[in-house]
Amino acid sequence: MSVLLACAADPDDSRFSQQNTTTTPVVTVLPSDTEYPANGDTIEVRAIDNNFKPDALTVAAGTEVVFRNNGRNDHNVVPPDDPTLATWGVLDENFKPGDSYAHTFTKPGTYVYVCTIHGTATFGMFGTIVVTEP
Amino acid sequence: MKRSIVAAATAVALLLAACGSERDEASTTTAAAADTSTDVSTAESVPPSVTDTMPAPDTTEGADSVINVPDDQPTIQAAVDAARPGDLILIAPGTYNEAVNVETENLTIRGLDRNEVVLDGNFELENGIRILGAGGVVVENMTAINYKRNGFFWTGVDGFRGSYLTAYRTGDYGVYAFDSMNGQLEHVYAAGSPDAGVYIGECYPCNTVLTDTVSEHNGLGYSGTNAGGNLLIVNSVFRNNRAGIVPNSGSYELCYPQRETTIVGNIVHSNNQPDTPAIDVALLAMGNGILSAGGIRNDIQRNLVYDHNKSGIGLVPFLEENPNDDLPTKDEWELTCEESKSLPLVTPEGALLWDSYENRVIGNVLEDNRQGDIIVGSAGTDVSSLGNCFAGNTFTFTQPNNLEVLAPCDATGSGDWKDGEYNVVAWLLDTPPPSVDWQTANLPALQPQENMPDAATAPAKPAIDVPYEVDLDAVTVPSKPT
Repeated sequence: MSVLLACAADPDDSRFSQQNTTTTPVVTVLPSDTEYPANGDTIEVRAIDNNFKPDALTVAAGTEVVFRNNGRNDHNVVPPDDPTLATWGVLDENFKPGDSYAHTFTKPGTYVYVCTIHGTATFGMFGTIVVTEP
Repeated sequence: MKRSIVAAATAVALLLAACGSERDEASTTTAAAADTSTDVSTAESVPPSVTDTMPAPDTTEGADSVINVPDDQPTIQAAVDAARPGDLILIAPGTYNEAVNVETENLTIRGLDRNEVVLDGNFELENGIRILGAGGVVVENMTAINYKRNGFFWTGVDGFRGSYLTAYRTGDYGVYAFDSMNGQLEHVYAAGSPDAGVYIGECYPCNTVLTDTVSEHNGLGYSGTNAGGNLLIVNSVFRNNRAGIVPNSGSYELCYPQRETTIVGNIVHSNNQPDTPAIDVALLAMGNGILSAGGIRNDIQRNLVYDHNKSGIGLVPFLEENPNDDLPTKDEWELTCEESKSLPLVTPEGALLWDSYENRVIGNVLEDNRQGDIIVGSAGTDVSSLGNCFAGNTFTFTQPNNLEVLAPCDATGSGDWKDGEYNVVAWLLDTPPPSVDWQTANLPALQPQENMPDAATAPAKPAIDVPYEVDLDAVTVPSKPT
């Protein structure tokens, strides 16, 4: 959570999401405009019941993150500021136990995600990925 | 966590085949809403309770204000959003198509009539009422049906109470307390969940009581993964599920292993029901009354357990494919849930074998459990080394034979553990009837259930004083229902 708070410096900055409607505001740093190609690195985040492990991750831009449902329940991976998954994420119908979902984070920024079944953006089953410049 | 086990190739191969993680797919078929009419019978009442449930209302607590739904607020969610800690939300009879989230502490959310305040998810909504991190929240005297996930769900709370709740036809659990402690679940009726009618998971110590409950026609009557420590399951009925009471260990959620659950004074019978919805572990556990699957230091006493195709009481291993960590050491059994969460995960190679250690099985009455009134098994571990003990039970036969001679609780055992050795691995070859879609499963019609006393007038009583004390010494083996 300190990462999120530290990123809330300038709410007028267009890089900051204004879309969050949760009762406890969460500021997600949107990616920068600079995009980096896939670097061949892969790191895994496990969705177990009902936690993401690890729930805080820092990777270099271009890294592929593989989310794997290693629990016995359905889960999902949803950015709270993008609930329709226009940019990334996976819904529970495609993320049942044993399923995996991969996304390559090409732009630096802080990405918050939540399993909406078992948490909110501020409580329960949620996580953050900080994507740094390579 | 130091040790991993690469299970014997054959057993693991069988396990992997049997424990595929696919769940039954929800179909687009819709079932009729629950029949809430007429008959007052629950068919079989819970054992006479000696639990100190529902103390007299204390007017010094809570009740800062009362919010009536729909008179003051049009929906339950609107009332919750408007409420302050300590408030009482009173819900008038009606059907509410809502999925309510609660993040305000110490609310009491109460239906005025358990059977006529119905939250209906219409097979589209996730949870009837979900409490996220808000301690002290009480939900009482209402019914939740047709939710894709859970009827009533507390997660990450310190202090919770669910009283006089009915959960019927839900996609995961009926009543679900996860990562929560200091709780009381009482007078619950739960039917028609593919996982457990009542689930308490990921807590140690849980400091929680489940009492005066009837759980039937679920995959599991009760499931308690990695839950224990002053966790009491008492004076309840678990019947006609695939399996009855199933505490188990596994690294698919945190705070392993499962340990120290006290299971006393319950009626557990006929858990061979072939036409329920059921997740994979429920299929694997089918035909067992009380089944410790990798459970440790559980106290199983003075229960009446009968009519099971496999065991009345079974102490067996849980073989976990694709584990997320290796087995905890014995020292780590002593860690609290919060302490164990800080340990790094060490992914082992191969599967884990969670054996059942140091359980005490005392004074139960068991009959007509066809593969053994009490069984102990493993998949490679010497079962004589597990430290389980048995005394004062009434039974016909055990496997291995003569368990009370082999491993008495307060004496030195003797005899041959190979005599009547039980082959639990054979369960992996079973082909139980497949799961039935939870939306269309043939459940008993939902009968009116007991209302809480004085629902309209009792003041709010936040869950700051739970669990209520249980006089375990006063609990006797229940009588067989007629």
